[in-house]
Amino acid sequence: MSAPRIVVDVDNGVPPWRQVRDQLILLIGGGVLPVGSRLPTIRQLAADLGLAAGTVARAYRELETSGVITTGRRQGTVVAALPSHAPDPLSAAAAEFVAVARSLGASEGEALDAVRARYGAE
Amino acid sequence: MDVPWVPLVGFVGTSLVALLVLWPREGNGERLLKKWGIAEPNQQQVEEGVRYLKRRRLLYPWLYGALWLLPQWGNNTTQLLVVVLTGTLLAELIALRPRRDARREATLTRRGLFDIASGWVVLLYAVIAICSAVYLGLHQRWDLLGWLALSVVAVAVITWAAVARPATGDGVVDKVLRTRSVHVSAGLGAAVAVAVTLEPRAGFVGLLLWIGMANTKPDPAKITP
Repeated sequence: MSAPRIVVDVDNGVPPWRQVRDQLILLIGGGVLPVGSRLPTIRQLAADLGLAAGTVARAYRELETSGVITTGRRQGTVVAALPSHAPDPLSAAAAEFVAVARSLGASEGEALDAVRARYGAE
Repeated sequence: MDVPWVPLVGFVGTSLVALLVLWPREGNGERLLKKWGIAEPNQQQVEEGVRYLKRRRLLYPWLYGALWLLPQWGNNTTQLLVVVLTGTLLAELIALRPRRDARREATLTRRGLFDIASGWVVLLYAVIAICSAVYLGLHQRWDLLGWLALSVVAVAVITWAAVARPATGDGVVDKVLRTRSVHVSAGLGAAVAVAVTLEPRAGFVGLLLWIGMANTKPDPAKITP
């Protein structure tokens, strides 16, 4: 299984920190990132996504406030609990699929066509 | 300062011819990735490998040329090592540029030095660098100690940048190329340390160290996405 990933589109109108937070909630709630999973450092995630460290820090801070993740000196940032409004697994799977489709440059229509084709094939 | 223009132009010209010969093509990118543990690289992965090689090889002729503007020092082997180490350093610094495309992707895997590099390679380089520094200090070779210190700083910066730079390409290629950068820089650093300590007797030993460390493949478990 490939490593979980997130995709940020800085042109889609949703603030990047919220995109990061929402995708993390979906991945944690869907079990893709189970409790105890170590998350990348703020600096690493910010560099990989081309965002300011403060943007990723805000997403992490929101999740810390709600108790979903904790940050310790030795362990770094770790998934601590499921979000209180955990999305269902189907929603989490959809979030992963959308992230992959976006990374491939597929439009919404193309992604939906691929899903329909897959359903038709089985 | 009198610049020896004719030999300099000849030198850079020769380097450019060498660059044309060494200019990385798809076959080079594919070989690079296969050598570093990716059995069947796809087209996108190969392109990433070629891009990685181009960033480095494009710099070498200009760095060779720049050597002519510096006071002559060291032998040919040491100068070759310094050029390749400087090229690796500049390429990693260039790769630190932040991403500008609208759609950006990141894996949620934590990336530390020992997640990408072999502990043995890093440890061996550290031991060689420390032994060289002690030897040069005891013999009061401060000029050579300065060169050693510069090379250690260069290796440290390359290692930091290889861990910290933004991800490119897919996860596997990204990790493999980061590993390569750390191992190659450690090998070059070890070769420089040996060259400044035991020169001119041990240039060959330094080259062997460089080749050995630079070809230490990543742990397959570490590059699994």
